[in-house]
Amino acid sequence: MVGIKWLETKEERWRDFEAEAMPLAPDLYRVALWLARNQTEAEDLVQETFFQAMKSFHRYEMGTNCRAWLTTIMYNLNSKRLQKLGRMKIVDDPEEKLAETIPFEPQLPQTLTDEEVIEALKNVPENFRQVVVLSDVEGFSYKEIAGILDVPMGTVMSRLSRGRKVLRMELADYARNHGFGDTENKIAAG
Amino acid sequence: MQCREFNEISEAYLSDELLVETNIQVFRHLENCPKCREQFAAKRELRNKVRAAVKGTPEFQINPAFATRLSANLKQTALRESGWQKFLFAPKLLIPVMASLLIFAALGFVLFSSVNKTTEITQTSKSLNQGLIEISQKAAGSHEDCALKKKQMWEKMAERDYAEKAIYTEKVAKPLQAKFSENIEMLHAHDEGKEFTHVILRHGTQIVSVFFRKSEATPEVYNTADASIICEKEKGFQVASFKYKDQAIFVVSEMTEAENLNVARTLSDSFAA
Repeated sequence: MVGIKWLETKEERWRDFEAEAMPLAPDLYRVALWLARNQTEAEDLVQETFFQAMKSFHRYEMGTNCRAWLTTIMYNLNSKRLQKLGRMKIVDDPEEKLAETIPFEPQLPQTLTDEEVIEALKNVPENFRQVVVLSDVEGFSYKEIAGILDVPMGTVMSRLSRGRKVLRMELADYARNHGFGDTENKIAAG
Repeated sequence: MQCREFNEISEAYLSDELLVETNIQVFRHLENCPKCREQFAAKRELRNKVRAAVKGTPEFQINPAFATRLSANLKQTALRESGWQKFLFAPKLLIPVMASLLIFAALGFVLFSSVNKTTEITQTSKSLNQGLIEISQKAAGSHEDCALKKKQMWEKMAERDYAEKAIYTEKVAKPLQAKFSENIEMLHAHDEGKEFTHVILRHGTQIVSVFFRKSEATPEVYNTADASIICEKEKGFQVASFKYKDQAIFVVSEMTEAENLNVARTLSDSFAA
């Protein structure tokens, strides 16, 4: 049997999994926290994702994008979890229409803290926020996001564009409500 | 390139999704158009702010204790799984494995036909946790024979109050109710011979057994590391076991491995607190 490399021992398989997948736990947790309601739920989701990934690791091709593979598993598990809990959200057209009606792109206030930016991001409708997080925070490509969310690439592009606009609106509203500078002019200038 | 054309592709440019040739056209346009340059700079600034805010906020950082525990649990599960079972079920390996088995079978037949049969029994050495696994098998048997087969009896008795039940409601049921905020009910607790205390719970529609292995009956499990939880499947049930002080504790159910592990983890954390 000498020379047959695919006869991997469980130690070798664990070593590969540990090297490829485990360093990505912080990235997975960051995405999980947007999907779950709290830290405990996010940790459960990450744990379930890694157990599932380990079971399916023979299907993963070493050297390909492990982060996108794990994130896809996590989204699938999350859909099942929400279905089980009866919390599955239907993609709602009103959200899409909301973003369509935004007439301008307000200018970004300059004095925002991290907390204010995250608060604004939390107020972006979920369908748009998912794409903004996967693209702008996590740096996934359109193609990878389409695979993770199981939607066409055109949908990814339109949701990203609208999500970014809604986020700018949220931040402009925040600035206006907190009296940052002459926001009326800033918005008009945008 | 005109401003209108740039506006149509500016989102894709921000995401670095354009072809090289289009990128060059965009560079040229931005060099010559201050208005587009300013608007695009604002978009890029927002993207960078969002990325830095999420990645820099403590709320979004993984708890190092959780990461360590996750890695340890995964490693234990990975190294305990039977390697040959796993690759037998991997589709790409099925044909080579079957071919190898056929060759071995043919060789075996030839040897069997020509040589007087001698059977050699090799004594396998016990692994460190062999003792624990043997007790897990007993726990799984007890879960089947006691908790599941007499389920209706325990559910009737659950209405009565008695001393042992009150203690284990405090120790076992309450931490689980706090964690899962679900319908978790203490059904019964009793001593099972000299070996176990058996606590029976209802977790939603599932019956879950928690066994406390008495300290005087536990020397063989002392090799197990503290704070690690061992998961295995015995008699078709999920068994998650861990050590707390001088006791070994087993959680047995028909739930999934992750769900059963979650119950064990909650109890382990609650005892350690």
